[in-house]
Amino acid sequence: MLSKLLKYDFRSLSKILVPVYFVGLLLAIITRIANMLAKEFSIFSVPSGFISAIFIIVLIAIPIVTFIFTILRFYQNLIKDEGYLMHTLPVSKNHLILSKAISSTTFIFLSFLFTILSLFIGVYGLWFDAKIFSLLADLFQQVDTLFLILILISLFIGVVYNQVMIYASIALGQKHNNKVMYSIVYGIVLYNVTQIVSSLLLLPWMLLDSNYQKYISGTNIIDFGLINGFMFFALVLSILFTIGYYILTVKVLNKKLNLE
Amino acid sequence: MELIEFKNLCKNYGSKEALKNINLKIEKGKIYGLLGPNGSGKTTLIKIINDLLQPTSGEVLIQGKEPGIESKKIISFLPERTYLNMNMKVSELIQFFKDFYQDFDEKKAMDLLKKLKIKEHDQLKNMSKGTKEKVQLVMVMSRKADLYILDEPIGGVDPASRDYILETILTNFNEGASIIISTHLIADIEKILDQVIFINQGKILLNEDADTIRHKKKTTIDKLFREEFKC
Repeated sequence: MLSKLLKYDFRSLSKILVPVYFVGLLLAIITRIANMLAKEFSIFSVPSGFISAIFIIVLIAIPIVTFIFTILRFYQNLIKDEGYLMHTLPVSKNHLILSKAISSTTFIFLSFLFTILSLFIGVYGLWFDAKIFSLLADLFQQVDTLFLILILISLFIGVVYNQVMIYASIALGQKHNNKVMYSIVYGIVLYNVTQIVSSLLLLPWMLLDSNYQKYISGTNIIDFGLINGFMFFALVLSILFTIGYYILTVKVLNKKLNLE
Repeated sequence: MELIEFKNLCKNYGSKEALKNINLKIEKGKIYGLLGPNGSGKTTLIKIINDLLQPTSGEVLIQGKEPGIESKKIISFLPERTYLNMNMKVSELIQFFKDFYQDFDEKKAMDLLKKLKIKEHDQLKNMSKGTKEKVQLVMVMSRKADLYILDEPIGGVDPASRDYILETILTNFNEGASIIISTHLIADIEKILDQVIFINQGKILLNEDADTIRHKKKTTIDKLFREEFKC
């Protein structure tokens, strides 16, 4: 049943978000053309600047719109009127939530991808110079591989964690009459719980680790071993919090669902 | 075994008691009228059967099990509101029901929609409220379920539409299945009922065979309801 749920979640998100991504790409092409014209003819410099400004705003908005829309989709589909259908389907709550988490995370990464692609097109045009890729490869070679891998995994876990934490807030908030207000309150509570617990767990490590002490005293400028250790620890914590909030969401929607 | 059994079921909303110690059995093959004024506890009872609300104490057993995936396979539920995703077309909605309910009869749904002059490519968001309600009813009645639970199916529609809805229910439900119809518009549905349940302020006041009321008490269910719930 998960595959069927995924099919409808992907379809529903695509209907709204894919056109937004194509608007981003279209605007990138327009920006590129406007900039090229501005170089040749000074009369185009003002409109070109205006178009570039809109382009930058749209680029920033694409991931934000995607994130907000995935959360709205969760709320409307499972807590508002559509929830009457979704919660009476013969599927488990685990699959209902997992389908939302997978489809939302995919679309958030798609939004990153389209934003980067639009930026490249807007700046370099449709035909990239191969030099860009060799420059990027050189840059990556200078950075520690483990560090890069940890950055990518952290980015992925960070996106999943944020989604699931908001799901848990909404699940807890829907138990009350004023669902939106309580969801926000629980969101603030869960965010602070994560921050406080993480800080309390990281603090002893920071105080006791001699490398960290050296780092803050300025004797060791870039120590990837130290940074990787710190990132690994933070990553494990994020994964644990994600699992915890996910289980909380499933349990609350199983045992405390309150559709009005 | 009963289709549904309520055992000492209570539901509180904060300090307000919505259902008070409900003990009730729903048998197979009967049409039940769950009748009561607004705010009497009808919808709360229905939501608990459908796993949309959890009881404060007591339990409800559907074929001996608590509400869950198995009960959802055999119950076809029509809520009192529109629960459709408005971005869907009719064809997508049919596919959705086909994907999730093994007992969904696509051909029956298509025939019923055709009679309503609703086309497959019609968008749900462009339909009137009444048409959306009819589409929803068609989907629910196109399942070969063991139990149909219809919450206020004729509330808020004109008399002509009421006749259409009642006819659709009566001519399309699965043979041997039970139906629970919740409403306060009794005169319109009383002729189709086998069993009558009166509910008020969270309590079951009456659970009796409809013929017994008609013949022994020599009154209509509508009259009895008006007497019972006189303000």
